[in-house]
Amino acid sequence: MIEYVIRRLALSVVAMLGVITIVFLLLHVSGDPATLLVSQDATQQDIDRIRQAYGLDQPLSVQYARFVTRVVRGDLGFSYRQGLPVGELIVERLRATFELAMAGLAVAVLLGVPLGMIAAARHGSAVDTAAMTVALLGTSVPSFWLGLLLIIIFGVQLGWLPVSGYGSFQHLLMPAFVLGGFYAAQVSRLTRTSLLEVLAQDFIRTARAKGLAARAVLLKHVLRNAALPVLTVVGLDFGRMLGGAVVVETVFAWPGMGRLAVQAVLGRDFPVVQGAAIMGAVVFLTVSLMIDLLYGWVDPRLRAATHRA
Amino acid sequence: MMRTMAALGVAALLVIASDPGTAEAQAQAPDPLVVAQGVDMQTGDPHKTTLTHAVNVLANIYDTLIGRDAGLTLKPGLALSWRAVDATTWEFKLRQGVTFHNGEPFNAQAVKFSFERMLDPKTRWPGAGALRPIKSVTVVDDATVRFTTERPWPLMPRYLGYYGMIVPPALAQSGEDALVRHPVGTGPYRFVRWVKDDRVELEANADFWGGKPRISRVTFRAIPSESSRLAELLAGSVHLMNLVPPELFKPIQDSPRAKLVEGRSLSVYFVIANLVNIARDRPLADPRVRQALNHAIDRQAILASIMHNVGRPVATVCTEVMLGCDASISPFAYDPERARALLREAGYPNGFEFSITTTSGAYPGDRDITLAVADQLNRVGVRTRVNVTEYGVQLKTVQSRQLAEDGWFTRFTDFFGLSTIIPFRAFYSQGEWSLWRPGHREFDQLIEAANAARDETQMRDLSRRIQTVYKEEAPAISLFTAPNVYGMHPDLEWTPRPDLLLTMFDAGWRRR
Repeated sequence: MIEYVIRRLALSVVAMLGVITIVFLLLHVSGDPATLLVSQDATQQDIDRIRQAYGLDQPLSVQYARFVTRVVRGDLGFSYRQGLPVGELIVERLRATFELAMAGLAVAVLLGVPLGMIAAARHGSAVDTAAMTVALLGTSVPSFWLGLLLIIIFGVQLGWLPVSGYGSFQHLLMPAFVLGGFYAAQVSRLTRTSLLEVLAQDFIRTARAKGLAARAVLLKHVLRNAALPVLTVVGLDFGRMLGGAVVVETVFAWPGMGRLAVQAVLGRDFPVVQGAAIMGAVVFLTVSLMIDLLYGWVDPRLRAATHRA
Repeated sequence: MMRTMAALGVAALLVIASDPGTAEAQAQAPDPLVVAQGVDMQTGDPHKTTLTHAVNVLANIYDTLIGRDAGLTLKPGLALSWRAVDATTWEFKLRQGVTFHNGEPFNAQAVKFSFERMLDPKTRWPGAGALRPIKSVTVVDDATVRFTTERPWPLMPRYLGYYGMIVPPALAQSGEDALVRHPVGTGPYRFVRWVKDDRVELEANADFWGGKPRISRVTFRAIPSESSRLAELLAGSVHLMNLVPPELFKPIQDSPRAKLVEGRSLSVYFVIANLVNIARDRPLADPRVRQALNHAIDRQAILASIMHNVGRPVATVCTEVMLGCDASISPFAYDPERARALLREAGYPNGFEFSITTTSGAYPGDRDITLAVADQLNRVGVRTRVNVTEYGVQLKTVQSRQLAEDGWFTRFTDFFGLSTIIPFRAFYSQGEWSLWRPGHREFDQLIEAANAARDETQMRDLSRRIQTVYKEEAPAISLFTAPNVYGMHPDLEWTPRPDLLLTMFDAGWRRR
């Protein structure tokens, strides 16, 4: 197990180096932070001075070597635009990002799993069709459109919820629903498929044959066995939400990672973009490791296998 | 995607906006006053940025030596008066008894410290270049400072009406990022709290030298989506939104819950001709062709169809608010016949191929204006293609003179309100954004002379000649002023400023 974890970590480091190299090259080729920092409002000397101050006048190879050495030492550098350490800027957004991701995850699971269960239990019926139609709508409706619709109804027309912003539980409701709703649709379809697959297995027939109530069969045998693929997807979705939900954050003015990253890309604030990319990679890595560990908890067979190994 | 988003949102919001039934009367004026911009302020330290979103907020916290009213007329700020002692020395008499929000005294030493900090390369202030003529700052006594300049600089007070916020020396020296996180000035509002990318909260400074502000609390919110900002405005939870894009003018005008307010503009839209090392046999090398392009454009029609009639045609390189902009020089007349005749005369009876680079969403209406320009050029035989490019990519190619297109759609702004600055930056052959290289000798000489002008009269005279040469040479299609438009709560009273500053000291609620 430990060996496995170490191997995975090593692989992820390689992957991360790849990610930051690509981000570095794409950014440096496509724009100049100095011109964007001054916009069209400065003299050539100002621009040159800023380039010099941030080492942007150096050859790309030198800049890259400096950047990688810094990252290895755990230093993400300073934002060109905000003049603060990148690490601090990211940490400041973590709370809002985490809140939204948790709430989105809750919506995705609490909406998606029951919907999928109902559909599977009433397989082939009108209920099934209705549930899957809702799920289809959930994945196809663009987040920004659903977001605006909710804003218009609950924010402007009824005035029940704040239109956008951050701070209270009320502020969280609409963005969490829009973000989670999208993933709930996926989760429900997967839950349904996964349940149907398990339901067709021999041991379920056995359980039914020995006279267990349908409810007990579903909860004790089916759900547990169907949980693995659902857990994987939910985990990865959570990773994605933690990486920043750009559209939802933009529509609802939520101060999360996604907006930090997008603004940094537009302003070619290299250190911040690189920091956000590294942050995203770390989150993803952590989440997928945690899923692996959860597997063992859900499925005793896997736990036994690890012990033997 | 954001554009589609805005369009869809607007369509839906329009429906609601036309229904006054749900608008409820509020008994009291909203508190705090909420101002929404698209982007958060980047830093609380005025000597680290010139980006407008930050300066708009900081202008409420910090003061400059010289103030400007909504018509850009200079008025006393932290300085009570100023005079030229000789050609290269300005003397400022300072207001006394003023303290910073943290209790530090404001005095000549603070002025000296602030300007030296701004000009120090280590500070990395992007605006330092504009104040470069300042050679030294000397404290005469507690209430008097003298600025020595490298060369005669009669326009210095104009620059200090926008640049040069004064910071508290002890606090600024306590740590490089002290002000970045917690701005402290002498201004009408003091800083309370900042949740990054969400809000900056300010409260009135009861001891402000100009009197207590009428509005006691102000919150600046960062709301990136234009549709969401509009929704907030219509819901009454935002009371002022700036930089309204043209597609939202109508929903705001039609709504009983908001009003649309227009300010005068210091920004001009251009399609600048790419004349970098242009070969003599290329169409654009001939001034007659460039004049033809200008005559082919129906500016009023574009203003009416895309900008909802907000904006005025621009003749050359300046707007009517700027010092020295000659109102007697008229914009190019819309005259497609004349355009075709000029093209024939230049040897292009069948027109030629032309291309323009533009952006989408970087400036209000940018893409749509460019498409309209292209359509009108096509009608006189100039076959025009439009390439939409990301803003950062476009600026980089322009800066490195690698632009592949023949024309660059852009906007130039001059916050100092001087008619000689845009031509200096955009058309002087050595200008940082100039695509006129090698440029025009007489034009370049006039620009250099204007920069060295002895007084305002001479500067005005040189500026008039710059505008005349510009119009003859037509190194760009001068279009019209860029919009400076706000959505406001119906009961909020505030006059928009040409320099875009959101100075809430000037705002108040109408009594009911």
